[in-house]
Amino acid sequence: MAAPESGDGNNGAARMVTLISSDNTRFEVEAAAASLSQTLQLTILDGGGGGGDGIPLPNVDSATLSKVLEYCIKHAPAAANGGAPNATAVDRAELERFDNEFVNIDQSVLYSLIMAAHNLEIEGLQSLVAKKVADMIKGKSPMEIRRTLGFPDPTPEEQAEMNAHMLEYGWAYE
Amino acid sequence: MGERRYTEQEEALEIKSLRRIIAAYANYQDAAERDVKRYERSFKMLPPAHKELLFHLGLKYQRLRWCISMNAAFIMNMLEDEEDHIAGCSQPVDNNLGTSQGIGVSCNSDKDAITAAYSEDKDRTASSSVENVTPHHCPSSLFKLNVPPIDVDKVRCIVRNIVRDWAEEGQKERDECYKPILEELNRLFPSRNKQSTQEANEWTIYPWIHSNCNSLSDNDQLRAVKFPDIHPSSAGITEGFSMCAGDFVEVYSEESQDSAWDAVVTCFFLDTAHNIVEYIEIISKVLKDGGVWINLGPLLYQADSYGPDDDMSIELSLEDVKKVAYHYGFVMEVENMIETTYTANMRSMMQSMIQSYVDHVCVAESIPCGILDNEEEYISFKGPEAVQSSFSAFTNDQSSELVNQSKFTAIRSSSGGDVAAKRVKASDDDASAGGEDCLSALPDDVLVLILLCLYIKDAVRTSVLSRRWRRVWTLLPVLRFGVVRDSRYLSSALSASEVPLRNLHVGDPNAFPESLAAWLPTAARRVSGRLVLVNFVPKRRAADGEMEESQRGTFELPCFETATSICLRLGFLVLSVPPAGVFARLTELSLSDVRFHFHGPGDLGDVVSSPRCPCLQKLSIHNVRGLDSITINSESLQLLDLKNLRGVRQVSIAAPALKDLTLMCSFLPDQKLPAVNISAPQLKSLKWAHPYDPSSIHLGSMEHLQTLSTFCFVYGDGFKDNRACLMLLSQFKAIENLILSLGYLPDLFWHKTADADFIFYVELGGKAPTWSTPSLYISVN
Repeated sequence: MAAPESGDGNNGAARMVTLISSDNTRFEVEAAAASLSQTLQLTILDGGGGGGDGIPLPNVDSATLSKVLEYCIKHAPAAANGGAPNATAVDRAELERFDNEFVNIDQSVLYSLIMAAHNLEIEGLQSLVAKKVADMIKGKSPMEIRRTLGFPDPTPEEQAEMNAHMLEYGWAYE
Repeated sequence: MGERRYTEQEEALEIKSLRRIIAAYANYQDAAERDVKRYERSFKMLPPAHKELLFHLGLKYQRLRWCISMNAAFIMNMLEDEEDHIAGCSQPVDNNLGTSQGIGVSCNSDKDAITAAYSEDKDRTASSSVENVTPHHCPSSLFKLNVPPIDVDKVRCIVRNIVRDWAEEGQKERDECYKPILEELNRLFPSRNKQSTQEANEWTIYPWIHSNCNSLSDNDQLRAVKFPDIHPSSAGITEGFSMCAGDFVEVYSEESQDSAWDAVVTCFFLDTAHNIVEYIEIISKVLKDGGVWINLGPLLYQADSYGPDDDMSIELSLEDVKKVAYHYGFVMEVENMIETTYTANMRSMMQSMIQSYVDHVCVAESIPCGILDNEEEYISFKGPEAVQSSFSAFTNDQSSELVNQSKFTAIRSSSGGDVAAKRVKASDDDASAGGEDCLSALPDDVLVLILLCLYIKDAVRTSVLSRRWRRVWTLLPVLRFGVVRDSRYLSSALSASEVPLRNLHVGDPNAFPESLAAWLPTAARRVSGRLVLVNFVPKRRAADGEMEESQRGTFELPCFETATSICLRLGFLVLSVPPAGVFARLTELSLSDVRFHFHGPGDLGDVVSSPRCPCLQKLSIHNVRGLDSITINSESLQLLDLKNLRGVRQVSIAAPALKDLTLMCSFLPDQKLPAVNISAPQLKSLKWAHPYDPSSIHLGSMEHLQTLSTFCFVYGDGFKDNRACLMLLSQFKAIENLILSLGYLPDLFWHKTADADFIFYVELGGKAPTWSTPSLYISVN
């Protein structure tokens, strides 16, 4: 979990920063939440993102960014406690419930989320989404994996390559 | 459970046993009162001067009575609820813990023997001294007869159990036991229903009043515990939750239960079986294909101490339990040790620790590689908690070591229960529309992140997606092969790329020297972080016939030049260490269940000493055979842990930076004491569970020693070893912490052998400056 410095969190209860998505939408959000992103944290610690400036995020569109921020806002209080060692069971359960709901979305959104989480270096979100995608692959046959992930049925040429591979790594397909 | 009709005889038995239970509860107050009377009699016998000194005890006994009556009031309330069930009242009952209003009792006294008995003295109040909670009646007189002491204990045990399961004070124990289980469940079934909870401390009990032993103060002993810490009906636990009273075997061997469950969790349960094999068989039967069994708990078989002589009780060692589970299709994934307590009084000076053995098990086809986050899983016998395990080893060698350990098992198979749901999703239009493009747009390191969450087999399978994907899995920096059926997998997977491995985790249930030789050199080249190799099975072989594994030839450890941590549990394969080469980055080495050849090419001491292991900080060597002598000269070593070096004749350690040293049971009991020379001037902590004789053992100067852990026997044959303990103690002039494990040999401790397997840790404060005072603190029944 990317925990902001606790000193930073105390320094003005609700310091806000502005983030600008690739399609020029502005998002105003608490610095503590934005700081879940390792990338943003550095800028914010330097005093960036305040006032009219805003931090441009050319790699993230507004739909994805709003989703990312939803995650950050929810997780910020726990992260502020240094990964929430003293969070109550209630809080943890609530976060888990939130996480499960959160990734219950279309695959295309899921992929843009993982990309954004990667660019912004939001560790918790990266692993959450990665795990979700992994769950879609887990325990499936080759054809099921292709279909689940939206790959078209293989051409004869591809099929031949697949077969060769499956022969070489037979143990993985037993 | 359903349709089964009970014969009259069975019902009579049911009623009989129910009666016994109720009688035990109803007897609670009387039995406790007898104890208080006994204390008072003892007090009266004191000479007047002593009495004066302890005058406050009289008050304490009155307070005890009050606590007892409060507990009794709670018990009576609980019985009332139960009575409603028994009498067949239709009145709805929220749940036993949540209802404080005395539910109107409407027993039909002619209905059956039990209700008749209840009605007898319905109006008698249990105790008039209780102001807040007045019991409505006390169903007692008929039941008072013949409550055996064991039942009295059981009731008290229940009261303590309430703390464990329902009070805030039990949170630590619950976290220790249930958390590993829940974490495993969450990992395997992430989308289970989970809901939030709310507080409700409705009831108060005084669970610790029945023992005067090891109380730091009377107030600790008399302290109140409120419960439940969460209100069950608000916790969402009740939704989709059902309880089934009855015998596990009877209830779950019904056909309707076959393949009905995704997961079975057993906690402190397996050892309650008359026939443990039957339990395991039933668990395997009720599980769906690909189901999961998670088990945590000791193997502290009950029947031996409590049941009648002709009661059946099959008491297997952990090793045999694993064997049986394996037979029924379970395959071990990971095993581990946890340390926990059971209904322990936190503020007691004496804490019985149960060391738990944690096993992860998976079904044959699956090879987990990804998500397990606990890096320590394979390393058992590690850290300070090992004091107890090696004590057992000292008295009984290895077999008892395992019996005393609790066990945690997780069993899984490759076919997930969520496949059906996912299939539906696969046919979604939008998934097939943009799926491939979006996914393939992701950079390699993100795809690797996804594959890290998968078993290695699933990761390899993604190769079918495209040419690019055929490369992605080979980039994985972590490879976890749970249980490997065929070590050719390993060679195949390891030689697929040269990407440095942060973590390589192999569970090989049947490692042969040749098969290891096929992949270890590749591993030595690739591992830049941690290697864990566990050879599961041959512990049994080692116990049965030690010749066999030496016939299997010698396995040579290649030199891991880049690895930082190596953990090998070899099931007594014969190991030879490389005669040359430097383990340049190795900081941590753990070897256990290893056999050496007397005349092997390399020398273990030479390998782990500074010239060839310049960074080594932590070294543990456990359960070793065939090691004649070991000489360690290390500039870097900080932690050294030597246990059960059977047959060793000489141990020399020169480690100027060493902070923490453990030496335990390293020699056969009847063997001549080996020569031990230790030079560790910076040592802070010494754990010594081993005979001590100053003529052959030289500890050198240890001026910085802060903590000494050792043991002595309280009863029994080990008593003579206490001389050694005293001699060891006399080596040190002053020390901050002494942890003295008191050993009770079985059959001598109280009348309950159930407790005899535990070691009691007595922590003797932090301040005792000399040796004369600590013994004053030791207070044991």
